[in-house]
Amino acid sequence: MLARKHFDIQAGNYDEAGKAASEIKRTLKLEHCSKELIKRVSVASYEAEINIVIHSVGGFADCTIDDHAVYLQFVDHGPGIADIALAMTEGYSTASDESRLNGFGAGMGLSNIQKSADEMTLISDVNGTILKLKFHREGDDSHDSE
Amino acid sequence: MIASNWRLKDWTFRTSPETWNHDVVGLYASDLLSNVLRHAEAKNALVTTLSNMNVIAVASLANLPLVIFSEGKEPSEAMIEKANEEGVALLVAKEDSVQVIRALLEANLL
Ligand SMILES: Nc1ncnc2c1ncn2[C@@H]1O[C@H](COP(=O)(O)OP(=O)(O)O)[C@@H](O)[C@H]1O
Ligand SMILES: [Mg+2]
Repeated sequence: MLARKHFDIQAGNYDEAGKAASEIKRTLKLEHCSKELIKRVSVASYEAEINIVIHSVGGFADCTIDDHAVYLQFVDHGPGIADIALAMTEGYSTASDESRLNGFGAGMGLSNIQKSADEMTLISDVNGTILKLKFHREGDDSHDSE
Repeated sequence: MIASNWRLKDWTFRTSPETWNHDVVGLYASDLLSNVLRHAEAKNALVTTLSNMNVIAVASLANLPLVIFSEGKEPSEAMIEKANEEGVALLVAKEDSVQVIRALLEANLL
């Protein structure tokens, strides 16, 4: 294992939203991940973090990097996603007016995440939501710097 | 082309001159951050009427060196501070997004 990070994510705190994603990005840079991989991980982690901020009561993220892959998990403590298939539909959003004013609520987050990650597992019930993502490092040119 | 060349009309930078030095290539315009994340390419300028911390976070994550706030939307002090740290240049234009893009086209920046 090369790196392991944990981040708490607060519900409703728009100003802090993106902190975990930007720390994850920084960690990947330090591990010399390729630009292409950093971009995919950044998009997915920002969307997942924002979902916890705007749709949940709060939670956390974990990031682990080894030679083969970047593993992320985003966990929150509810209220959960009632219908995952519906939530995955592009354009479907229950975001509040406040979130929309902040530029969120396009209903594209989960599909952006799915397109960015190589593997995605989404489990949800009233206790909360767990999103696990894996990004392969194959073809990851470690000399490809900023 | 560096960010300082993108200052047209009476558009004004809100960030420090160090942020004006970065390469800018092409542009993406949207008021939806998910679309910016999906479609904007590294080095693009972002034109938006959104003005909040998340715009700076997204610009930084997506490697966008310049944000042009249209319709005179002013970034807050906290946004300016964050943008200076992240090396993202912030410009304020009083025109709407379409007029901003037209002006950039006429100046052969796009
Ligand atoms: N962590 C979460 N907890 C509860 N509901 C969620 C969570 N993430 C997503 N959702 C639900 O799925 C919908 C679609 O999510 P997403 O595709 O990210 O779009 P958006 O966040 O723009 O609404 C959300 O509007 C919300 O109803
Ligand atoms: Mg979302």
